[in-house]
Amino acid sequence: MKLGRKFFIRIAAVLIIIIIGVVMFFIGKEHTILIDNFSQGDYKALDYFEVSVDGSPILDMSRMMREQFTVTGQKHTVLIQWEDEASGQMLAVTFKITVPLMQDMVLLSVPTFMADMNQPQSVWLTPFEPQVVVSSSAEDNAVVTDDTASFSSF
Amino acid sequence: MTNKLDIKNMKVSPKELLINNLVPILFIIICCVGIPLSGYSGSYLLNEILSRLGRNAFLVLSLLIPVMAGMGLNFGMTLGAMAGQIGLIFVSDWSVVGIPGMVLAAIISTPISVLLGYLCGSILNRAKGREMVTSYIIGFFMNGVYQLFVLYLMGLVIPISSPELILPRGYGIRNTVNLESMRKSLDNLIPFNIFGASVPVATFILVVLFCLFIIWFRRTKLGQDMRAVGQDMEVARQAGIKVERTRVLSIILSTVFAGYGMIIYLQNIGTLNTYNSHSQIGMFSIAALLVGGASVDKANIRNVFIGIILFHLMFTIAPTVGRNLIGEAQLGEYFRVFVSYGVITLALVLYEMRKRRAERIALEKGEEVVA
Repeated sequence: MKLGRKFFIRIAAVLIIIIIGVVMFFIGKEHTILIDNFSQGDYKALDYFEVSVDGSPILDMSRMMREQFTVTGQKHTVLIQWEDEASGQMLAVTFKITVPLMQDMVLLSVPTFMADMNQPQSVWLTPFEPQVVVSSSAEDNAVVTDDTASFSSF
Repeated sequence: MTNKLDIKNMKVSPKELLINNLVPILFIIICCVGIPLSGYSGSYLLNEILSRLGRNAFLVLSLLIPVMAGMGLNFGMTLGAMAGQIGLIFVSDWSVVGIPGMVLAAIISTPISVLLGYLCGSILNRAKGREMVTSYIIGFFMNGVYQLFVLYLMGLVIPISSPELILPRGYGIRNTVNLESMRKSLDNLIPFNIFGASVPVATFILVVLFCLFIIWFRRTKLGQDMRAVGQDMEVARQAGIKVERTRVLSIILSTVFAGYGMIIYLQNIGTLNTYNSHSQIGMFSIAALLVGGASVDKANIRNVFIGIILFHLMFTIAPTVGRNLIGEAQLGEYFRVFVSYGVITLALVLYEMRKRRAERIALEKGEEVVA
């Protein structure tokens, strides 16, 4: 069977659409980054620091605090600013992180990172699974299939 | 030999002109009376109309192609809406947000819409002359299939992992899917305000592109074929046009665009009512088109915009007018639903009256009717 030019154009069009879909998935995938200031073993929590992800408004963080940033895409820039106790000067560090594609939520332990900035990312950036409370009452499982239910939202 | 009587180009008296445009005239009167009674400010109404125009235009425009092919008002656009919703459920599960989420949902919805449109078109080819009622019933039938997929198969057979989407029992999608991360991402892509009203510029650009596509499409070979099929199927067949294929293509195109329209519609709303959002979309889109002065066999882009403005102006003011007049906002809610069904009935009755009148005249003159 002879495959015509039209056939190849159609195949190319389908491939382009699939590629666009994959690109959209990569750039549009939402992740949550938890910035954590809890002590981790030998690494003590910092008294105070400021943090920003991808140029977002700076958040103040003290001991035992956890903040969350919602971002899209895999690669992000984190800025941490803190006051040096010895000199009293504000110091800052900017670094890049790569969130695993299929991981919805990751936890960035700032005490672990600050203890040794040369550690690999996997040490201070770990996957985080939020606890989900599952209710199974009949009311929660009920669905509304009333044809007129959407009138008011139109 | 019989002469052909073209009922579209017949001279009409002022009375007939009034009857032919009864629906838009009725709506203009309702709006003129209702606006002062509602007490809404001009900027509020402008904001509402601009928002609703952007939200609904794509959906209503998707109805034009089947009308061109003589298949009447495509109640089967619900099928496209379901496909769009399935796309949105998947992107919500994968946490793909914003414009990329919309594009991905559109890509997912396309093959589903094509398949559903093909099925619908093939069935409609077996029900020539009864396309509207058939497509309406196909919509109900497919709603059952949709519910089977979304209520039972998603989570069991089709992998859906997000606990925010899945019912607590472990399968089936919840009543509402939160699209907050996608809400107005297209509308607010290019921010612009006029008289305190927010203009969804990017959505309007898409709508204009779709209008240009329709204008261009009418001039293509396929568009000409559709118009020929819409005029007279037998003549088109004798001219070598594949009538059945052309009709199926018109329904496929309409279904695909309805799917995209549904995605645009839901990004504006920000919430997907899994089991209800699609069910009335065909009814309201068709009502809006008819309010704009369209009929079963004739509809154009002007009808779309006039219709959306008038119909949604009525939709906006009706609850408040009901509350101000009778102290019951719910009455206004019922009124607008009643009017939606009423306007479709009225338009269908008027169309049938016109057709019969033309047939009667033709019979008297011994001419053949061209609808």
